[in-house]
Amino acid sequence: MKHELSFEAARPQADGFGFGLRVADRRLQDWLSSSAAGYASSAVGFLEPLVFHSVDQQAFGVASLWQFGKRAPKPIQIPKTIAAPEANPVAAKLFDARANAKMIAAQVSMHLTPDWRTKIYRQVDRLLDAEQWEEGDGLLDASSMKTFLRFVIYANVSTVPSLGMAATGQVIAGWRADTRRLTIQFQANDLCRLAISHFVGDDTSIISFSGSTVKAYSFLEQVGFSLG
Amino acid sequence: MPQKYSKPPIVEAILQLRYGSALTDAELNRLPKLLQGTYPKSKPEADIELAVEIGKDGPATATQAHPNTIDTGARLISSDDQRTVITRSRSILFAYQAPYPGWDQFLAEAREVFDTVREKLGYRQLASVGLRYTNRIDVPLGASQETVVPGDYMVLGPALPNIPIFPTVRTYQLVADIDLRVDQLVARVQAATLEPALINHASLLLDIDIMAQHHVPQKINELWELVSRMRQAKNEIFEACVTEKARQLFGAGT
Repeated sequence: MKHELSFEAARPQADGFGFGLRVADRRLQDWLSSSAAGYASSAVGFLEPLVFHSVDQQAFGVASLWQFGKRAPKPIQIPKTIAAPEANPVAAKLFDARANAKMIAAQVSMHLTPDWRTKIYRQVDRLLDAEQWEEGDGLLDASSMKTFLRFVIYANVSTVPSLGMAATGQVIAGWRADTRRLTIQFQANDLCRLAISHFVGDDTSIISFSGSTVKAYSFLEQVGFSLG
Repeated sequence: MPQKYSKPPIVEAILQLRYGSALTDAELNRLPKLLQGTYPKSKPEADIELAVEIGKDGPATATQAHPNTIDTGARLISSDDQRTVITRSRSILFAYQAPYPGWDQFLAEAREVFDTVREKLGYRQLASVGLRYTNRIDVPLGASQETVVPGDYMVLGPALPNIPIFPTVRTYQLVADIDLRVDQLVARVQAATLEPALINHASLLLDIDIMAQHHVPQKINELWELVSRMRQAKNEIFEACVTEKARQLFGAGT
């Protein structure tokens, strides 16, 4: 039998909480939703088994833990919340995309000003407005949204950009400074592509950069483009 | 009451009531309409389950070819997108996403939901109450990118033997259910390292879930008094688990 997870009880210590639990072969994120409310049916307030499935009961300490929790092995259950069949599929898809984007923003909202949060939420609603959205338009990409928010907090950006969305769903943010326009397309894993162009005058040159957002920030400092 | 911290690390606060009997389909369908004033966005949902049996000798086989619907309800979102209500046949959940507005507002908004349900749908036996706070401590790494010692910020952590081969803890995950001395409450406390939420930071999770499953009061005032005691228990656990250095990150005293 292939075991998904093994764990063993740590020996109690004399001080502090005096307990420990070591878990192997699985990341916590695998069983903790980034948002507890993301799990409608198992969010709080009841003592159901955690996801300790397929545990080798011969392993050290495991039997006592099962006994402690009065839990018995049972078939793996994979609960998932979906839109009910009667829901409009496009509306449900947009509802989820908006909710996900805002959940991601909420995760770091303690590092954003209320004004920032309000303006970003408003723009997300506009991008995913059911009346404007057409089949073939992208759905906001969660990993891109995450990169965007991590960047603006890292760079301490005070000017809220105009947001757009690529066909892939990646976030595109635009800022203006003096005669220049900056456009950044945010990708997964803190990567981005940016271009600086002029929106007045005869200068048709475009400066571009592709790479990590941390390096993009240094690049913007070098070319003197302030994000406020 | 003013908040203790100017930047509380609370990512999400949740209050959930579970009922002893199921809401009817008609009652479940009424809930989004009853709460529409504050929660104008809604979506009907279903929880489905796939069961997989792992045989002793053979590979895993699906015991059911089709997903099994185990519950239905709706997800309601407030106009400011900060509050969520999730309804199911035997439970109603109220969640407030960061930034946390403070206990008084959290409780007032939660009461509005649960009191409306009680007022419009009538009394229903309460089976359990859950109050859960998910905290994430974002620790700046600084220019030197030095290693973060979780113990500098959180007292709760893995108990490891002090041997030379263990110089630093890279990641850890800890879940414990603890019986409390108040109201036969149980606290499920989770502490862990997390994927950093911010660039040049390390993130630590402190998730405190307080559960009341015995002698849950049925009178409305007594229920809210219990919820206040659960909050008190949550606060005591939280304060006992974090260090002064962590409190500085939350803006203590500012």
